[in-house]
Amino acid sequence: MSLETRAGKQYTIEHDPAGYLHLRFSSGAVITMADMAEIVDAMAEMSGDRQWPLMVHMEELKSVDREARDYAARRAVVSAVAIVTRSPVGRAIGNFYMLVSNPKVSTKMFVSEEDAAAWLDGDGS
Amino acid sequence: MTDAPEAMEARDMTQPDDASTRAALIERRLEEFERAILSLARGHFDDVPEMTGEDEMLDAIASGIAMLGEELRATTVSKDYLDDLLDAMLDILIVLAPDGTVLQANRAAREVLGFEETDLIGRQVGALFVGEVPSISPHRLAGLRDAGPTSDVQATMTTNDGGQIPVLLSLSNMAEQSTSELSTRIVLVARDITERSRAQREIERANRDLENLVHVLEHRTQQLDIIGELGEVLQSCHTTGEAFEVLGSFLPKLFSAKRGAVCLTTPSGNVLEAHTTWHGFPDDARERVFSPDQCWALRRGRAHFANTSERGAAVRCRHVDADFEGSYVCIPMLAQSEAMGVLHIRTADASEAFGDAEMRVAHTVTEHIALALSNITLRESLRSQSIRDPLTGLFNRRYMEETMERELHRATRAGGTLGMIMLDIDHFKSFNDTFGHEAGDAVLREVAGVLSDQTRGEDIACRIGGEEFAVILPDASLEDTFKRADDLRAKVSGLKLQYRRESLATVTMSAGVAAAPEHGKDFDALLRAADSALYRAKAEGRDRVVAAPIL
Repeated sequence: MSLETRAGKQYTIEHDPAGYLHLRFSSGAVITMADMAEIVDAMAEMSGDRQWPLMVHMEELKSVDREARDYAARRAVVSAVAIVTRSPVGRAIGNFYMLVSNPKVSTKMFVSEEDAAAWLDGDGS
Repeated sequence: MTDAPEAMEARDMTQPDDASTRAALIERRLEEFERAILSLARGHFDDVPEMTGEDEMLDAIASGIAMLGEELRATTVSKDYLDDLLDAMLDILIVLAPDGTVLQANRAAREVLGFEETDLIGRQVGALFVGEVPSISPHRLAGLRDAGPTSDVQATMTTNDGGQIPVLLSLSNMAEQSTSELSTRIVLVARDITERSRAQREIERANRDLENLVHVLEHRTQQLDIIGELGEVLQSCHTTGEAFEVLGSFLPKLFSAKRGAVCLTTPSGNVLEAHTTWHGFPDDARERVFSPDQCWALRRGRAHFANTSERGAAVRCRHVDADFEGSYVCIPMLAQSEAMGVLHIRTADASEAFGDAEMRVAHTVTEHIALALSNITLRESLRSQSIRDPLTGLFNRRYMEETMERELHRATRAGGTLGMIMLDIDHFKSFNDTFGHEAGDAVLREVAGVLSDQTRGEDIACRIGGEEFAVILPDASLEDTFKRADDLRAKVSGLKLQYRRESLATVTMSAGVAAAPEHGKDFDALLRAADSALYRAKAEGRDRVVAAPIL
């Protein structure tokens, strides 16, 4: 159960009692620079003074444009990012994000939430 | 834990009803993808495949191609931006390989140097410069990464048409922190400083002009000070002799690089004589004494300049030596429209030619000299009129009285002596009656001439009235005075007098002598004693000398 939630048209961010954030995209979400800025601001607000780990659920995501990917990669409002996806599209976007955008914080892709949670429990290391 | 994308489990794809339909779908999508990839390769970044939802895997490929397109567009835009940026630079920018080979050149490099890009690429950078520029030697370029950037190196670049452009160079490694191949490349930036160099030269020239002007003004101020002082000192001079001494001191300062002379017209007006000369003015008498006719300045009544070294030069004055080569100026000294003389200045040095400023100084100085000499001459004339007898030119009684007082005081202070002779022409009244007053005046002038000729410079010969004369002899004893009086008497009696080609009768003189301190220490006592002695000489038969008795 989340302690706190932020939601936009194409996303929802939840606080997990386990000590990390969940970012979920709406079905068919197409994320632009403005959307990503809104998401990052929301996460920064929810994080307060400390940086939380983040689990990103990419199953429903349709696309993220280049500016949005680069913006997310440059901002470091969370301590680590675990990308969870089983979809080929999510996997393509995740791989592109990690290999091309070169994010500042430790980022890894998983097919199961359990594996992702375990990795985040270790502070992404 | 499953942590690699490669290990991910693929989700179920939408299954077509039959294999042939799926194959057709895949074939169609692959053709789309191929077209899209070719479009991206050609730079058409908008021609990307869309996700159709028919097949997740194919959608993932479409998504990947779309993202690749975005990256390519961004890279291309960045490259175009960078190229535009480099081409917008006004400075020459050339990218070099470590061995000095030109790899890239911006628009300014091409336009300023006049080369096509293909002519610049592959060329050795040294070939673009005039002479050897140490900063771009292969050795220095190879060591640039360790030595650090170089800036503000002045050099000259050569253009395709052989022109030369002064530039300010800077050299740096392209990516100093990187270990990639880019880090070995060198960026050369050259700023065209043609205008700056021209402006710099203009400024330097203006500075030199200004310094020269300041120097000229300082020199002029100094000259004005000297002229002012010269004017003051000249006004304080009592005699022309003093004035010439002063001029001899000041004129060499005013015309330090030149020779010159102040030539004064004699009272007769027929001759000019150099009284003051400086800096080795020639001793040749023809240059120092000449007639007014020999000077064009005096003939024309205005300054006469001539450069004898030049062909077709102004006519040379005849008082200037025919062998003299150089330039000179004669400036007439005019007072009351009368030419008192001429200031002559000359130089044989072509580098010391007369300038306008120096000519103005020469004119001003000439005016000062003319005014001062005119005043002094006038004063001398007035004084002479007040102390001289106009008929004989001897001093008058007034001057004798003044001088006697002074000489007696001096003799008393020094414990010395002073002799006095009173003389009177014998039977002068009957001479006048016989030969007339004009003949009498002639006799007076002849006798006065004897007195002038036979006295020393410090002696004072006076006509004290009628046919009566006196001679004051400083430092002369009574005995010396008596002897001198007798000599004078003998000379006068030996005169062969003529008037209008007619011989006149011989004249004689009687004289009475006295001396200080024997006959008193004041003028009246001495005069009385000498006068009494003269009376006795007359009484004892004339044509003799009698000394006053010592009391």
